[in-house]
Amino acid sequence: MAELNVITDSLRDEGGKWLTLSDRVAAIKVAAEQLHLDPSAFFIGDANVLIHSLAYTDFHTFMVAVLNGAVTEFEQVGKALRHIADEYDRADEIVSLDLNKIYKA
Amino acid sequence: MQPGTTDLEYGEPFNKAFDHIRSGVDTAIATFNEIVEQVQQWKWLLGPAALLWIKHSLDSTKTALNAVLDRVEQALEHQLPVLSLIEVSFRWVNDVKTPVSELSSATTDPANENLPKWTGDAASAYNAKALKQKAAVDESVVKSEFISQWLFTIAKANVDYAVQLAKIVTGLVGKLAQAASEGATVIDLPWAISTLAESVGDLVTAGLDVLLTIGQRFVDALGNIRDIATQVGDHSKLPGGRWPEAVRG
Repeated sequence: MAELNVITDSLRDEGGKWLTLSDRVAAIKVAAEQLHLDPSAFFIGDANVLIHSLAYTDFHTFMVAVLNGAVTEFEQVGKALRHIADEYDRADEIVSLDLNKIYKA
Repeated sequence: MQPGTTDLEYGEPFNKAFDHIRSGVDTAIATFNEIVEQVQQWKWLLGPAALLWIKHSLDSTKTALNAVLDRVEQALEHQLPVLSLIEVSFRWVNDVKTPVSELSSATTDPANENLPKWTGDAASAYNAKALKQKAAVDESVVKSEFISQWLFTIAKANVDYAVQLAKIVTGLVGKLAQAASEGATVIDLPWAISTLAESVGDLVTAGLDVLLTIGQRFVDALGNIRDIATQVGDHSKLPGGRWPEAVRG
């Protein structure tokens, strides 16, 4: 029983860690979103900047989407760990869990 | 070419070049007008043949001057936007790469030292998921560094362009000032202006060639677009180009 409490406590702490990570990466995502560049920002001389600009926009969109994915996943991992702790508490022991159910939002 | 924490390496020389361009262009135009004034002043003494010769030389000087002014005008329009590109390249490092890299070890370091007491299938499934999340974090660090470097390459071409343009303008100012002082007497005026036209023509032709080369370097950065496509298309750590799903849905 004491052993179970040690484990569920550490699972809840670990879940909290992921929720914090989710908040941190959310702030980074907001910062990344601001890194937009107009086509006029690419060259002061006479050159076609359109392709450079399109390539950057693609990359920027991709990175923001990726970071946004991290916000979601970190939060879900945090919740899944807490869910696991709840399941153990309910059963009063470390039971075998259906992981398909645990890792499904 | 590792970026510093400030834009000392790029922003400052860039703006300094523009300061030189601005003041140089003003001086160049003023000196050119001064030379035209001198011609007006001595007109009555110069014969029609000399005047025609002078006019021809002044015209070609003006053409060269205008070619430079066109570049200057275009550059001035883009000064602030390009500064924002320089800034954004730093922010990819400072606001994205560095803070993301700080998340890396946190993903796998347990928040509670007792976590390793948790064993079994669920524990190993969790550890595997945490490792994949860490790999995705590390991959995001690599990608942020990549885009920052790509923008630095472009920033560098812009700084070089501004510095070269400033050199051309400074060179022009020198030639014009020389002609203005050497052409102070009516005897020397036709020669001074003819020499001016020739040297300005050479200077501008050579200068614009260098600008073209720098422009080519900017265009060549496009080759890195393939790198960008590779970065976006490399799905080994980010399956399907997305963050790895630890939890479905």
